[in-house]
Amino acid sequence: MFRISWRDLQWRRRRFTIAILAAALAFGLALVMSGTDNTLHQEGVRTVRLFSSDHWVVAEDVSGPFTTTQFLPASVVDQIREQPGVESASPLLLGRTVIGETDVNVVGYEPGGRSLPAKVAKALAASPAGTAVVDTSLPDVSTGDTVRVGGQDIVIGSEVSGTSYYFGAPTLFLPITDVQRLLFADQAVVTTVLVEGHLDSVPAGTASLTDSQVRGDFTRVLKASADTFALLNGLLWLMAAGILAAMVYVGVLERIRDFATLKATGATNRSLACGLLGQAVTLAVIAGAVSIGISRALIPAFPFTVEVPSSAYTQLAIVTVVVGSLASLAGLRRVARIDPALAFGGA
Amino acid sequence: MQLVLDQLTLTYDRGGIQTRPIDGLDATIDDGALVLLLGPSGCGKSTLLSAIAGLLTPTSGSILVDGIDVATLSARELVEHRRTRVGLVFQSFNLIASLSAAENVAAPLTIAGVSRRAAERRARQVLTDLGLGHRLDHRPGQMSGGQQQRVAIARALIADPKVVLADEPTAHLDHEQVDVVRDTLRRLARPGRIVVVATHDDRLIGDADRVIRLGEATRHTVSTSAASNRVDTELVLAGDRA
Repeated sequence: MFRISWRDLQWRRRRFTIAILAAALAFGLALVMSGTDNTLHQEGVRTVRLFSSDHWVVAEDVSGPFTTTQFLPASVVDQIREQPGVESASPLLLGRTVIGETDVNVVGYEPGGRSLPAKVAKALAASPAGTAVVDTSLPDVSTGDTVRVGGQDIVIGSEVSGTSYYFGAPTLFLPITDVQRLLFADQAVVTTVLVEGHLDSVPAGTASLTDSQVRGDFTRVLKASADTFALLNGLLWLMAAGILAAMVYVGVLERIRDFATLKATGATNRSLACGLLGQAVTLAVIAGAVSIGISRALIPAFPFTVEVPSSAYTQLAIVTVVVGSLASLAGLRRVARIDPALAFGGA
Repeated sequence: MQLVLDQLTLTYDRGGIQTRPIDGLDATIDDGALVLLLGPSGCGKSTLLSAIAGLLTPTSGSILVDGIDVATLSARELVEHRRTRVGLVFQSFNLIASLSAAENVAAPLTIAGVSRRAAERRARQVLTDLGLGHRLDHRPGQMSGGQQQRVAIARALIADPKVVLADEPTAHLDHEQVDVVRDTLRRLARPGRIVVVATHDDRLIGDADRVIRLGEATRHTVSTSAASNRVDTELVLAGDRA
């Protein structure tokens, strides 16, 4: 029976190609959504890992350093350092600015401190004194160029990759005093203090967070977008199912006499249903395969890096089978109701 | 091999109207016969074929094909009946446009679970026997009406059925094509097989061993008297054939 369905696919290939492309576009967009969601999630994981520490000391009642504008006085760093069991305590000051037309994260670090990610420290070591390190995702800027931050020119000394966060916004690394001066009216404030070692207690008005808590806070703010992506994914899958279902159903309507003839010559509803199901699933699987190419063609057009996780491809394989099965349902009901006696009579 | 219709009554519903085209039909058709069902449109020729094929359950009476009462078969047994005992030839050929001639003919066998290779080997043999060996891989759209009808006949023969039922097999054919199909149908009727042809084409009378004339169907509701409708049955013996 599947051979008859396969021949029908070949026979109506132009029409099915259009349906496959339309469904593949829906599947492809769903893949991009999954990739975007994954990228946002991974940004949080990667960013926290960059600065990984035993403790993140932040202002009391703050859920995480990356989601707040509540600061600590710089003096708190020394209070923490004085505690027994503390091996190191290094401040970070996190801000935002715009360079050209690009939103940029600004990270103020303590020169010589242990808060700086290793790859940033390495890049900094190779840079001329007084220059900044910037993420390679900052467009139209490269080593040696000058960017304007807080009304002053900053020379880019070197570039690093993989430090962007918040929808792929590039990060600019500057000494903390420069950030205080340029973005915070020269106030001696810090966003968090990264502590290595054992911390018995925290200074008044502060709280200590673990990497896990900071990561959770980072991804918390992305929950709404993750939910939106999940909803859109579901709708896109339904759309693909609808496209394929319409095509399969129209095909059944056009082939009623064929089905009646097959029934009259000994085909059972079950065998016809298997053929139709096979046809719909084949269409969906081909659409799924094409969608991988479509997603790869679409991703470069996005203004930020989209990393489609391998789990999304596994999910796609399952979804295509489910979508194909759903798409065949309307046709299956119609086929089951076809009276084989319709095979008799004129055209 | 014998086909026996015993007090056969057939009723169907069309648009809420119950129609009883066949009412109390008796007929016994012997082995090897070519039988014509003659009559005007709507007289129940196709309905009778449907019932013999097991596609329509009789209101009353019985249809015995080689001693088996089709009216009493279960759904599963009816499928087996259609697969093995009857072969159907349709007025509009009913070939599947996407399949080649050989694939169309092989379809009933592959549906019945025969391997594709074996089914297509048998299909090629039957098509070659019917003079279509040069059209095996052609699709229906690439063949003439007469060739398509012979492919349809080949499909009906693929399982070597005991009864071949043909519904208006010459309706869409020109004069030359009709002669070829007539000759083919004539040759199909042989010991071990009965061929029943529903037609209003009088040219086929000369080929028939027997003719059953069906009268006009009377439309009525079942609630009204069944006795009010009538089926005229006229049997013409084989010796009357021209």
